Amino acid sequence: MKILLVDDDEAIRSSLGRYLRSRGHELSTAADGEEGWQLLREHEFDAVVSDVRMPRLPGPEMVRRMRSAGLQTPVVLIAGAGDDATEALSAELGHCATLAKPFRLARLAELLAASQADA
Amino acid sequence: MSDGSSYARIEPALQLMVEIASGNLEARGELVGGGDAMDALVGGLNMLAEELSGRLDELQEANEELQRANRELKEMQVQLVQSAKMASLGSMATGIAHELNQPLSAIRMDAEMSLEHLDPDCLNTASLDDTRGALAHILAQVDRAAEIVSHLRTFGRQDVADALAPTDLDLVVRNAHALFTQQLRLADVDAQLELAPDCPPALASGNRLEQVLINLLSNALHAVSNCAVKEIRLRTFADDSSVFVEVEDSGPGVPASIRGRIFEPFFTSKPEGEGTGLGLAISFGIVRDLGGELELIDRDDARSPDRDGAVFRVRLPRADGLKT
Repeated sequence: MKILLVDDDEAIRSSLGRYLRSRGHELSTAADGEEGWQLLREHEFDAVVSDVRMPRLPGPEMVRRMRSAGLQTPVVLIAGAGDDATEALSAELGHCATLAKPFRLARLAELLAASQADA
Repeated sequence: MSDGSSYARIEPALQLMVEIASGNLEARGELVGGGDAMDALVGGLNMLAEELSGRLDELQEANEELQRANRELKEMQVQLVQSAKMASLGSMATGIAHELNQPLSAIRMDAEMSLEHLDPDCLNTASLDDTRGALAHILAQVDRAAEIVSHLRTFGRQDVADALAPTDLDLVVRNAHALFTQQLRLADVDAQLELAPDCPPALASGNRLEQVLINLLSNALHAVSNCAVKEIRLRTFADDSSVFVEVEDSGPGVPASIRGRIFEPFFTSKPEGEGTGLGLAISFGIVRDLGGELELIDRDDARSPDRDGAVFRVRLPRADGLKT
């Protein structure tokens, strides 16, 4: 799968990146929503894994831009402590699942697999 | 009647006056009896001594009462500083929770992936390399979390007898700034440290100075939050006798109408429920206790006259002696 990983924390990009690559995914990374949005406009991805709270452009805002641009790429939003990433938000954004940090990688793998089945 | 005999008659009264005047309020004159003028005078002086003695006791009591109140006030001030510290910790709690949750999440992912990769059935060179990388990453992330925790512990400490000592301003400024990293980043604030190289140490208490800088940073962050340009500068410099820390923001600045009141306790320009109005008042008291000054600098005096915003300057004595 071609996955875009968007997170402003280098440690998360590193850990999650290592895992996703080890699972054989092709990975691109971005450090905030704005950077992620640029990549999304230029390249095609099978899925997006994104942090919620980020400078410049937060995750949910990036997904709103995607959806209003007609981009229906499935997204897994990863909420940090105190972030508001509810089911209501997922439903509003569409093709969007949420996970709260810290989460099980196995659960992320399930969500990614399910997103491809839906798509 | 000769002058000599009349002097002899009034001498006891004069002596009594001298005694009273020199502070011996226990002195009393003897009454001869018979109700003459001298007895009336001595009697009057006795009353005066009695009255004065009573007043003195009252004064002493009042004085002790004042001293007691003063001691209580000082204790309350220490408690107030401590609760203000706790309040700023409280307001930072979300940021701190987020900050700690990041390394924890990374560690969890690294550990889960390592376990998966160490499964004997799918062990290979690549999975071993990944696992090694993940373990090294875990170490770094544990250090990151430990640093946050250790810093919070220093910050929470109650320093009643916080002795003045040579204090490295760089370190204090960096520590205060570190507590705000997450909040500054999320608010898109461009925070710059402009630390003078080889800035001499201040004679201060690092912990209390940090509390001041946290208050100033918190105000600066609030000031720029709704501005198009969000800049905060933390600056240190020194002259012959003092060292300075400035916190400058690109916010709207302090209106002239409230400039005279901003250091008053419970004065706040923030909406109700958002500010305690104690931050600047407590900071002012802390800096004064440290033998320095906290002031709001006119933009003309500040080093960046071309910018909008407020500049708060902390002046502290240099630790390396009393050069003038």
